[in-house]
Amino acid sequence: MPYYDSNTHNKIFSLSEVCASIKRTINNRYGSDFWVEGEMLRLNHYPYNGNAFPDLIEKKDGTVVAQMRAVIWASDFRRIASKFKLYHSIELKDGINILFRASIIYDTFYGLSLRIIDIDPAFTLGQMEKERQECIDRLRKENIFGLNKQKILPLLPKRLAIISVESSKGYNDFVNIINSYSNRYAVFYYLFPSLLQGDGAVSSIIKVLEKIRLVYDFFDAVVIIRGGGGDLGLSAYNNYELCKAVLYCPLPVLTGIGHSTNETVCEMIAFHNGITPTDLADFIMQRFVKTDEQLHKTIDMLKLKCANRIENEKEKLSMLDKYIDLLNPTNTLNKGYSVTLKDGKTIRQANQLKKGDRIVTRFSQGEITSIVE
Amino acid sequence: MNETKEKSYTECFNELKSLVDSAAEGQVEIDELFDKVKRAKELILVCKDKLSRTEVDIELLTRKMEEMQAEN
Repeated sequence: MPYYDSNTHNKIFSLSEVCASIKRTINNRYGSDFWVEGEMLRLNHYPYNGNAFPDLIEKKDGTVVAQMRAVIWASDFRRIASKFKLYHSIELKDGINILFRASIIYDTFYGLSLRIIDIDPAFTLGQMEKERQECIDRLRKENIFGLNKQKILPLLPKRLAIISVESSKGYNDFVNIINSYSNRYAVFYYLFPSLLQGDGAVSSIIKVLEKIRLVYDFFDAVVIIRGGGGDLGLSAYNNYELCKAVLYCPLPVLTGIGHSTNETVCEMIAFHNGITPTDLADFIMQRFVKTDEQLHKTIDMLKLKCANRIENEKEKLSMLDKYIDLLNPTNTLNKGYSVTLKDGKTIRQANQLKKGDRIVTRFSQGEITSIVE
Repeated sequence: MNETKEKSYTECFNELKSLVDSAAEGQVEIDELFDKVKRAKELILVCKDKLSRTEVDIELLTRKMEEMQAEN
């Protein structure tokens, strides 16, 4: 209870009394919860007890115009996080805009904060979709959207610059497939390690692309491989600066980012989007397999055509051979016919001869000379 | 015969063809006809020989291509 100072007659409260008063007032004034829109500057999640203490801000034209602490108790956090997971594409993390249901609470130790009871993932997704669309619009407006698609991918991409993480499942899936063909097709690849998701991914991938630019002569294509990390943290691939770096890459860029949500801008603008690392590896190796098959078919076709041609010529020759046998006078003579000659010329009509002419009659075997009577 | 060997298949075949055509004409003297038939028979042998050599060459070549493919 407050008391009166005997000298000054001031009413004096204890700190806990002040706190209790504030608490009472706030509870009376803000009895129900309400929806609030804001940016989560930092999530501040403590896994050991499951509670989170987000810092919320509102920005206007780039400057912070309001800031407030919030709390998400462990039980609420679990429910909200699993709800977000259902949306697949988004996670609760620093720097996203959220629409949340909250009540104002006042704690005698921690002071005023917003207790977040629920978050609407559709809102955050919408915000991300908006950013994605803005990125697409900007690239289209700058007329660079199709830049990488104009590059030329060699029929057999034999030298790959891979942007990935050695320990990731996606990278291993990818190189396992490439390696499984190594006895038939030698594909050289070199790993350029990079962060692939989350906030650091944008600058990390851009840096690696710059590195590849210096040695691009040694490669046929750039391959961005991710996977095994779920669908979370993909917003980096909708980032304008990253997309621009991909577009201006001197080599065709192939993506195998692996997720089940909307295609990211990066995948849209890439020379080819293989969807998953496995699909992308198949896409590359199928080019080798198909070329090989075509070569086989061509050889078979060549053999067949050559054989046909030779058969054809043989038939023509045997027909000519038969015809020559028909013309061959030896065959006619063999049948018992004979030929009559005068002065070495064949006599075809009896009136060509007159009495006393000397003629030669040729048989199949031998000849005789006679005088015409 | 040596001279003939150097000729291509097509040259030999064309010669054969015109030989047969001219032999088919009725006015050919019998001695000439004997010669033409003899020459034609020769040419047929040459052509057949060339064809079987080509067959072997193609067989060797395609086998080599297939081996090269298998090595890759």
